[in-house]
Amino acid sequence: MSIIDRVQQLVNDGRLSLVAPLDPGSEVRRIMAVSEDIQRILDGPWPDSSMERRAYRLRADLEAFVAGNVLAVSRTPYEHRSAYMGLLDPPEAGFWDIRSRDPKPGLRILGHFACADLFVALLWRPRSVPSGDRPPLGDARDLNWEMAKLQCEEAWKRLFPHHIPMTGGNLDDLISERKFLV
Amino acid sequence: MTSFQRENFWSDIADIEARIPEGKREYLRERLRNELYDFVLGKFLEQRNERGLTKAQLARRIGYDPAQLNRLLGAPGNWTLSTVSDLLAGIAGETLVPVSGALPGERLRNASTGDLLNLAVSQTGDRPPDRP
Repeated sequence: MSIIDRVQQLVNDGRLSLVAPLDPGSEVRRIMAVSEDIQRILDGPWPDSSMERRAYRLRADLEAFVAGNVLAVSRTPYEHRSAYMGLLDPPEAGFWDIRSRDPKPGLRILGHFACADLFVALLWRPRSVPSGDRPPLGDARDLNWEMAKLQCEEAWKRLFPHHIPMTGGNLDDLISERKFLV
Repeated sequence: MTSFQRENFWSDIADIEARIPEGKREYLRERLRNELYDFVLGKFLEQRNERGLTKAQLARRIGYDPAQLNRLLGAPGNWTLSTVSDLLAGIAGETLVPVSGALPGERLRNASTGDLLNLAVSQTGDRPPDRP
């Protein structure tokens, strides 16, 4: 079974959902499949209006990936600056985070590329301040980052026991077009 | 507590008498920021490919500190209208001509997984080979 077939199977089973633009006129040029954990924050219910606003903003940021917008990408761990996506340490493990930075709490979406232009988003964490019962990831070398990567790895293995994520290689192998290295 | 309802998302936006909830306005603001970013960075990538424009050249041209320009090109979070004007002028000698468009007003059907996957595969080429 190809990894795309596996993604489709997981979507059919409700264990992954595809991010679909709210605007039916929008193009779909990349695929993002999100875990139930991420779908819950996107869909609510939210405890307050602040989290509702945060979730809608996150939705718009994830749609930018799907719509094929130019993405600012960093392949240098710990030096992501303002990039939309960054490769985490160690680079060979293929962990990426999508950075929805404003407003607080800034959020990080961790996941892996399954193949070119198909990102599987597995978990979300607040970056600098707690969100509900979720502690912040903290600074780049904080232990909470290692915990999150471990949970990300476990989530991948549960969903894709027979496939490995994309690692290393050329950035074109992950994002085929419209990206900008920072 | 409120939750997201895809099929009703555009209804109170299309209804000119209805109050638009703050969350939806936040979505539209971020979408606009992302669209502007995509437009401007798309211009930069074009000019880089066609004319060899570099970030250093652009920074000099519009009088920005290179580190500041790097941050601005990484994300649109702190962009102002002045930023957009400077970047477009510096990148391509252009300015933005506003054209607004109606937001969708119709009810949305749930996205079909198969449609989305097939569409993406058709747009990005052949299905990738199986990997071990």
